[in-house]
Amino acid sequence: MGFLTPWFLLGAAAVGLPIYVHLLRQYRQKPVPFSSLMFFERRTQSSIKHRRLKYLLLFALRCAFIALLVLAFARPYVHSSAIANANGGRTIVFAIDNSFSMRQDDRFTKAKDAARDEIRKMRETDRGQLVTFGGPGKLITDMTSDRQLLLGALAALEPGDDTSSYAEIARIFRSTSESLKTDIEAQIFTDDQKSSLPAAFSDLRLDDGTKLVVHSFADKAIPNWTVENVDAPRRVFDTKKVRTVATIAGFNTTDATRKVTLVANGKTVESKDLKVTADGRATVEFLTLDVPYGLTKCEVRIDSADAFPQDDHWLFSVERADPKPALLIHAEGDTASPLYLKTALESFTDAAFTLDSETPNQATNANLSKFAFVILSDAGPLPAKLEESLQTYVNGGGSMLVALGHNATPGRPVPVAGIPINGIHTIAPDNERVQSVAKIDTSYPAFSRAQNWDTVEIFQYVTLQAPADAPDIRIAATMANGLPLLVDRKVGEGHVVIFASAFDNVANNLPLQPVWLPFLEQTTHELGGVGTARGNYKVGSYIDLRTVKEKNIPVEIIGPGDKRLLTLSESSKAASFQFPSEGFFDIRRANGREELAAVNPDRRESDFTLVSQETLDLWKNTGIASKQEPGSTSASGTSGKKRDDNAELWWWVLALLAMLAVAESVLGNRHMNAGAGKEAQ
Amino acid sequence: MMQRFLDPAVLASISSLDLVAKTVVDGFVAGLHRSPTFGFSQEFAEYRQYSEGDDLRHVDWNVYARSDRIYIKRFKGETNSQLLILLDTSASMTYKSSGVSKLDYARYIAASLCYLSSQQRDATGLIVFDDDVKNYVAPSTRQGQLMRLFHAIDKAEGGTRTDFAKPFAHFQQFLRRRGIVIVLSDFYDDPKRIASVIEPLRYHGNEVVLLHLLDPNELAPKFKGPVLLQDIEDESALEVSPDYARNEYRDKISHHISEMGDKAAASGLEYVFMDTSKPLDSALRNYLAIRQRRR
Repeated sequence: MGFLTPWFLLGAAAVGLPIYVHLLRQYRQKPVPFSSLMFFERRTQSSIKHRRLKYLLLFALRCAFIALLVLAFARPYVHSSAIANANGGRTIVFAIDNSFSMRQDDRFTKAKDAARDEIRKMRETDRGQLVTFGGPGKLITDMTSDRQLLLGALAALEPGDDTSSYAEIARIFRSTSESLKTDIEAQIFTDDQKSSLPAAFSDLRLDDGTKLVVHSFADKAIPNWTVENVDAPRRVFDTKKVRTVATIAGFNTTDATRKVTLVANGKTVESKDLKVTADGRATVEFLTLDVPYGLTKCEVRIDSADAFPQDDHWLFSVERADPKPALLIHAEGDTASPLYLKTALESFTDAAFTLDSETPNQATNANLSKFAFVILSDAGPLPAKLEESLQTYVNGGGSMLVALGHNATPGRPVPVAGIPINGIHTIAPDNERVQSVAKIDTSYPAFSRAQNWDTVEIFQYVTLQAPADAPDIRIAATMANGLPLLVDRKVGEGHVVIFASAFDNVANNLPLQPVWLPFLEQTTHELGGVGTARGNYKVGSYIDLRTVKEKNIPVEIIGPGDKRLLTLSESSKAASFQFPSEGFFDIRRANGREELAAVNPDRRESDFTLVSQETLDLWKNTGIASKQEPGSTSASGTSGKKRDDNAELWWWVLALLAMLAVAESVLGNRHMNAGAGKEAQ
Repeated sequence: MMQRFLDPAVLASISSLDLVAKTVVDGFVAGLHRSPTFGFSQEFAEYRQYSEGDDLRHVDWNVYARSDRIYIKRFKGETNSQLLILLDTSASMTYKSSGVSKLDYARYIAASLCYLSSQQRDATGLIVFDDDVKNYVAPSTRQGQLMRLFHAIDKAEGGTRTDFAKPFAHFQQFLRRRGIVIVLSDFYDDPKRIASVIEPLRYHGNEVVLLHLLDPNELAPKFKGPVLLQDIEDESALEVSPDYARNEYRDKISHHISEMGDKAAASGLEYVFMDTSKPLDSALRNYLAIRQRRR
């Protein structure tokens, strides 16, 4: 026991106050005049004793009141371990590693057996809790003395496909220790993977008083090959132009040649031999992927012949579709911009779009709804009917890229976007410096892979009056003079992206710069709705299921084994979904689109390099400094932290104080009444 | 109706002492008409046969003419008694639990007796004392004597402690004629000592009456709890338990009263006990009843 603010104990000197009142000023009652004391005798002992006893009780109450008040301010505490140990029981947390690596051989079975033995060793007074940390930490049971409950929960555990994290289990130990305010015994059943360690050792910190026992089920680092990653297009438009790159990694391995196979819908597409250096990586390229239209489950496999075959394949999905048509509207006589745009779109690896180029007059009667997006390349004044059609198209969810050049009309707004054009500025070669791109918003999709704009020079640009603080306007790039270069405006359900210069290689040199292709590819993919969907996920990652507008519209997820993974309630309300295991997940979204998500375990689990014994010892030591006094700083934490470990008693002291106050009031009141009675005499 | 005005507490509200005395005595006399067996004279007239040396001015010549015997008429002269009132004004007499103090009660009694006596043409005097003689009004029948007495009684205030020995030794020089001596006191002293001090007064042929005044709270004190009592006279203090006051004290005060009566009787002194909560006429009636018995 101790005090957190012991200086307040000096206030105990205030006990002198009731001592003064009761002992130094005691019994100075007002004398009652009487005619003669001739017939009175000093035989009053019993009565006075009785009264003194009552006064002494009041005196004791008042002294105790002050003492307790001082005590409450001094904040007494007892070590919570003292409380916990008062009944002699241990508090044990059984942490089972059910990560993907525990599927190796019979590691998980051994871990469960060892945990079962430890649970059976629990005494009647011990309490135990079962947790897993193969992924986010899960409390499988409450803290209980019921061994049968713990054994039952342990028997039901299965290995998962997620990644273990020692930082996560350390956090659980800390939180358990803090919530129970007691010392705990943490028993970990794991395979000691080095990859489970956090970047910072401080994340492994255990609370003082936590005894860590590590049950290890891996005595050496086993060699393991794995398909570490596969880079394949999400959509396939031309099977002849598909490039699939697989990375094969070896952990604790020697030089070896592995056979890598590309499989689509269970059928082998192509196999290649790949030489992998010791503890190294190698990539293999497959240049064809002949898959049928629609969604296809694909896989890259290796014949690793190692002790962990579970990671010898990588799942991915592709969707084959025809290229989508896009409409380019350019000015009569403009041949440059159609050339640059068409050439660029055809050069994209996936060739997702085909470009139809038309003049404004030709496009007036075009059915815009069949186009993935529309490019308005310095088309000049548009016919009213075309402008109206474009407005309807964008409002309905279509997207448009507008490039503004010398055909723009100052004073008139940009078609559909409605942003006013203030003027057209052409750089005077002798007097003015060429404008450059000064600032780009790298979070904007068009710039995700097109970030090198240093060589781009702008000779002519349109001055847009685009308010930066408008909620539906996003200025993605600005020129050196601070004027907007790329502006995105949301119109209705669609978007209009405005480039404040033309794509004709006259107003600027962009079409000849390296950044042109990635910029245009990303922009068109974004406009055409191709670039947003992902096909590959890791176990434990999340996928957004719906937007705000898609509230209460059912979503369906069918997992491996054709199991529906969402309940009826979740299918209409869940905003996201966490992939629980490896496999293909068929997702039917609220907007009717169907996706096939391929989910693979984190390949950090394939590295069976062990944590060094020194590291484990250091980890254990973080919880040892439990017997320090609260004023001192522990090895792993501050004195402030230590306070939380102790059970403070001031609540009880305050409660006692309140009771004493009531008792003192009652007794004091009686004395006052008695005094008043005597005065009346 | 008149009884109500004889309540000491009611009388205390009357500031004029002569009015108090008249009220008491008139009320008391009015009550006597309904009780013919009681007489209120202190002495009755008599004829004494002339003896040598008697003043011839007192011979009743009418009797001599009828009976040829010479008698001395003593009705106006010799039968007139001298009344001397000794009023104790010690501090203990100022005690009161409620209503009037013992001193006020004694003053009313004294004033009433003075008034009664003056009605009978008796010479009345007053000695006010505590541990010494504080005031003295010589007995007289002169005009204005009653007012002087009232004035002296009115001025009597609580003094210090009681000491009977010194003032009573002093009284001897004032008693030229024998008469009635009435002592009004609470007699907080040893009864034997009181009797021994007062008894010499009787040797001069005086009739001595002790009027013992006590407050009801002195007779039966009621304390709810332990209390610190302070003696009014010597200011000594004593813690007293209610049990003691309820039992042993009452026994002692009762014993003191009865011993006072016994010692007074043994010394030939009249003794009348008066409770200051009782009406004044009953106090006077008690006194006169005793006087009647002596007759």
